[in-house]
Amino acid sequence: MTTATTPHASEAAHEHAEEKGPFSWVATVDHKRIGILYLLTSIVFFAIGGIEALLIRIQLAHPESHFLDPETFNQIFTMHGTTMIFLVVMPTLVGFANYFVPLMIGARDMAFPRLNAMSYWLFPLGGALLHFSLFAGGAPSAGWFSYAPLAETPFSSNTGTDYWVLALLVLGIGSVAGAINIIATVITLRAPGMTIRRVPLFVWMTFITAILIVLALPVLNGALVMLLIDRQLDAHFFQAHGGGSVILWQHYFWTFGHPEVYILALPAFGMISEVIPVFSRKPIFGYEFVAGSTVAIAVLSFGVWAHHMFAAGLGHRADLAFSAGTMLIAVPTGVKIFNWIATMWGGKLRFTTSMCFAVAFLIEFVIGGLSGITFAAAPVDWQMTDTYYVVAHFHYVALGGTLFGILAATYYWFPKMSGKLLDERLGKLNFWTMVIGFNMTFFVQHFLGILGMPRRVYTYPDLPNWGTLNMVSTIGAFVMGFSVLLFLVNIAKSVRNGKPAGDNPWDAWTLEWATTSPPHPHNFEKVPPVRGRRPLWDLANPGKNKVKTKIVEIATYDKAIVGVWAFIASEAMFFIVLILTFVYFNLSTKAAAAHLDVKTTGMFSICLFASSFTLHRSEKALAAGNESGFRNWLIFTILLGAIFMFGQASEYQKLFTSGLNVNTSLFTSTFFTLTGFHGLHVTLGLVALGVILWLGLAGDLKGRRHSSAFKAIGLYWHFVDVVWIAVFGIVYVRNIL
Amino acid sequence: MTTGELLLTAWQSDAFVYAVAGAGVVAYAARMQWKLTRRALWLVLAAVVFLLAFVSPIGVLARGYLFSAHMLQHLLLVLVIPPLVLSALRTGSKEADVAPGAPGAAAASGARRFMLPWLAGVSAMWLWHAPTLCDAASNSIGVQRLQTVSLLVMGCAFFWPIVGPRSARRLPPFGAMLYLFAACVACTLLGILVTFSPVEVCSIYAHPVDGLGAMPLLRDGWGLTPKADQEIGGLLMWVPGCFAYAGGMLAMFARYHREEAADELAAKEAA
Amino acid sequence: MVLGTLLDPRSPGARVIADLFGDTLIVCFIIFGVVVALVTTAILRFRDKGGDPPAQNEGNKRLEIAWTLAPVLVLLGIFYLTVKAVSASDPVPDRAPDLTVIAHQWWWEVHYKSGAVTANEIHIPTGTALVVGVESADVIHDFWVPELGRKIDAIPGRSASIWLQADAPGTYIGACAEYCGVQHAWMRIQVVAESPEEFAAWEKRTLAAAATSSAPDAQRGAHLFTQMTCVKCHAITGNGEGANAAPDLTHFADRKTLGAGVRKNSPEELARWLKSPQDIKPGCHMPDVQLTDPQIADFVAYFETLR
Repeated sequence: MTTATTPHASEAAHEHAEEKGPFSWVATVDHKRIGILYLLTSIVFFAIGGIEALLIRIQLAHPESHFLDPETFNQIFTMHGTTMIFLVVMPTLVGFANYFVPLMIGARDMAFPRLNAMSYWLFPLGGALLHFSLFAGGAPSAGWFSYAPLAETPFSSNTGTDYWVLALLVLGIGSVAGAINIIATVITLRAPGMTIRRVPLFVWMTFITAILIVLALPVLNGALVMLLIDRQLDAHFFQAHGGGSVILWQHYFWTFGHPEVYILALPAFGMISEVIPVFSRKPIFGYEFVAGSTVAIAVLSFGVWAHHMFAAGLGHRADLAFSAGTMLIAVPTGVKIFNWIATMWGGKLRFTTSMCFAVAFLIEFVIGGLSGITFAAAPVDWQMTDTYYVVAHFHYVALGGTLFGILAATYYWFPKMSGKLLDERLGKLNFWTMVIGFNMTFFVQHFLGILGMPRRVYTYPDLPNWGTLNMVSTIGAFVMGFSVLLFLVNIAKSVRNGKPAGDNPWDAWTLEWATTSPPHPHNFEKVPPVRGRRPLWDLANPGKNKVKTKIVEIATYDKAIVGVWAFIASEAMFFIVLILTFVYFNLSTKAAAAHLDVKTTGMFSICLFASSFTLHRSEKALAAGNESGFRNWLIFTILLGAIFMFGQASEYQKLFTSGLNVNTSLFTSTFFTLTGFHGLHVTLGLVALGVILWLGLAGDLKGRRHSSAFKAIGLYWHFVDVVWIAVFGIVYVRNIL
Repeated sequence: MTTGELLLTAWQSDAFVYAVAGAGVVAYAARMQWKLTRRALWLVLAAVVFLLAFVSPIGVLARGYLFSAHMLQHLLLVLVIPPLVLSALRTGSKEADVAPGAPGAAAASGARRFMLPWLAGVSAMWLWHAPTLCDAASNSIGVQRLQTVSLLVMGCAFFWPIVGPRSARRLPPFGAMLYLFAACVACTLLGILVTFSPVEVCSIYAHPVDGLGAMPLLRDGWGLTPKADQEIGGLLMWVPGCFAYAGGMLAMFARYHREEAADELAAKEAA
Repeated sequence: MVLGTLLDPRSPGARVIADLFGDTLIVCFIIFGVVVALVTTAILRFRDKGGDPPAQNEGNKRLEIAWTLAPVLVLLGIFYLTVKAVSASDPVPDRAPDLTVIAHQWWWEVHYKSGAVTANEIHIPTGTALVVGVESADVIHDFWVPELGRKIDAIPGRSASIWLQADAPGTYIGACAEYCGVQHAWMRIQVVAESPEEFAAWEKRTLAAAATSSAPDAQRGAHLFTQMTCVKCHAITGNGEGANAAPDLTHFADRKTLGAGVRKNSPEELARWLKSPQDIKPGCHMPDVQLTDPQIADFVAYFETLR
């Protein structure tokens, strides 16, 4: 906990204080600098994605245009979607979370600062990989959800889609690592008195988002891995010929994709929930409701994915079930709007640019939400999906919702990050041009959809009104582009010579305003006492009965253990995808029985299961201070694990020599993918145990820090064993029954 | 036969069901030392749901007609009746609600406390939907009764760490949320499998013995082909089943807020 | 402004969906009106005019429960309408397809039960509902004619079927709605609804063998067609046999468009198309075969005879 780690942390803080020069930014592990790096990198990609958007709009400004050729157009809209979602909105939200979550909960840094730096650096790496495709034969052009089989080699033969897959895998791993960090930070590093029901709503929403990332991204990663195996090793997971299932890709993609929508939206809800109360001079109306409805959204978001697939013809029953789920999730999303309005009601509203964007968010997001309701009525979706109506819908959610939230947050928090206020006059101009440009661009697209214009067409026939509406939309896009330029100019100008902000320019109440602007490397000289949801309000209003209250003790947890549990949850989702795929393709075949030797593998499996026991003994011995016991049991564990891996290697060898490869049949594809990834995890576990053994031999495990690392790795090892129980049962035992 | 007639006539009497319900009520009354409290209402509710699940058309259709009716019955037994029973068992007295010790210690022993109940709850869903066991239950009345009782028992075991009688032995709210979420995932997976599986989970529902003469209504009137029937069964487990867990998670979240609010109040009073 | 297509349904199924859309839109407008009214009032009434801080009201459980339940009720209503509309707008077909549409990368192959074959243009008799089977030969496409009802994905390895019906004679334009590659934009389809008599005549005409002409240029064109690589992809047989990698051309001159909607079907446009298909529909599978102008003239003469 904070107090326990103080000596260490202040040492680190001392180091931070000396960091100067550009290289210090590369080497930094300070959450604030990493947050700023995230935001700056996002701006670069935002410029790229924005230019792509403008190119799209130029091409579509009038019918039968020849500005772009179709292949280029398709690459551009694919890159635009991928860039905006994975390289702009997600990292921007993570950037704000990085900067403000520790500050808002009174912590000195994230739980795992080095992991944090790694998460960040994976982001430009992923972005670079994606864009490298341009120099390697062409960008991906299968759309941002890369539906199979269009994304398979026969139909997308350049390497664009491969780079797309790799980039998304890298970004996915980075996002999961970042999310685990956020979870561990919020759980373990809160200041005394900062109970869970007192954390600022931005922290709460970010926390829930992090949980969604940990659970949803692995589903995408699993699907991406299979797509890559299809493309590179000739398997047929998602190709109809060869027995694969085209629709399975859609199920996996949207199982990730719908939670992803909330991953993009929830942090923006959090930002709005900070901005509106401060500029209404009132606490949020119904904190519990806003917090609780977020939990409901998170849970329900995993149960509504197939509403993206109504047009696929899953049958009326499935359509209705998902239609009901979709309407249900609209409720916890919708009630928040009322909470925000009620927060404004009876307050004293200050219309700073930040507040203007927050209020505009309310209106624009409601439009996106309501058009979402029309989609929940499945038959309407049968007509309107894949048209410009759906393009309008999700831009109202992603821009009218998330982007407006981000802009509100930027005007709100920029003073804290830079020490300078953003220019309000430019800000208002930025606001009005954005509102006008945004609505001009996207509102008319509703009509285009109703008129029957499909999305993702590089051009269109000259039908009545189509040209006019598209021209209006294009002009709107340029107004938005101008607005974004104003925004960037405002930032550049204010960084240099903006008005000094002071510690708390908005007279706000959460902990980030209790330190200097920008905060010094170790964040706080002294964290103010937390006796409620608004610590600075309580300080400023000592008469209001709260001051005498004792500081509530909050439960303490080991961050390594919390982190590894989150990691295990994420890995479990990944394996569930692989296992489900195996089951789906092998439900009614007995291929496994013909090729697998259950007895031999069973023997090796027993070694793996036994290793959990020996590892447990080793932990016990370490806890009892019995060094030799610890060492011997650990060596024994590693040996057992190695024997298991030897068993898997010899099994693979046998299968290969009998001519069975990854691409032989769906059975071999699913078998090698599932057991191969499990083997990879066992190997990683072995490496980690080896490191622990090495540390142990060096006598380094006596301190608390490393022994909890051992415990964490132990948990991971047990998890890998549990996965094997499931795999062994499903792949091997089921077949001999 | 019309739907109305079916709803009016398809009721059955089952001594075993009455016996289980009766025994439950008597055992409960004995445990409460024959004193009637308001909590007893929960038990009455549980008994009514239980009877409806077997005596009403749900029970009749579940017996060899519709897989989806069977699934509904199954969900009632595992997800609805147990929490009702356990709510009735909660003692009002404060002594049972000893504050938990250090959170760390609670978590360590908790690991053992919740593993088995969780497995029980998930097995209640998975085991009896293995085609072999599902067929066995539909072919033999003895196995069927075993199934009923085991589902109730496993359901109660599952909910024990959530709404068990002694709050000191319950999982802390966030633990309970994870517990429910993991169970939700496990059941959702089964629901998905059942919905999209080309394999018949329970072969009896493909060729029902039509004692009532209801088949024409079910097949043509309601349009329930065996495939549609199984799909609905799977979707029932998947969607409403998932929402039941989700509801539980929200209740746990509310409990967490209540408990923390109480802590904060206590802190204020202590000052 | 005339709002077209979806709000102008021309079949019973499309009408059900349009009504459902209208009903939900009304509900949405009401909700939107309420939100806008509340926000506007708040902006006007509660602007900061100095003075003491406002009352620090933290919430109101009852109010919050009320505004949670209200949307639930509204949505229950919409869900009820949805349930009704699902089966009314898209009844499950009770028989094998009357015609099958096979989607290819950037054109539509159409087979009738009678054996008639055509491409990119479906003829149906008015007043009768036909069952259309929808399949795919390569990637996922989506068959969609907005005025006539729902869209449905054409998924490789699977066959879907929907009803197709038009109240009145006319040409209804549709398109592939699922992104399917380079030329997704020019994968349009037309549904020509005509009186049952006209339809019967059309079907009979389409079933007939390809016309032969005695004009020398047309004969040269026919010869070229078999001599060059055309027959590897296109068929001109009249019995549905032959290559089907590209549209059947047996009654090509009957069709209204060429290149799945990219150009009107006229001799001039056809000549341009034959000269450089890759300029008109870049990326499509019709290669640039470097025809000379006399060859093109012969082809045009030949194709114009294919009625």
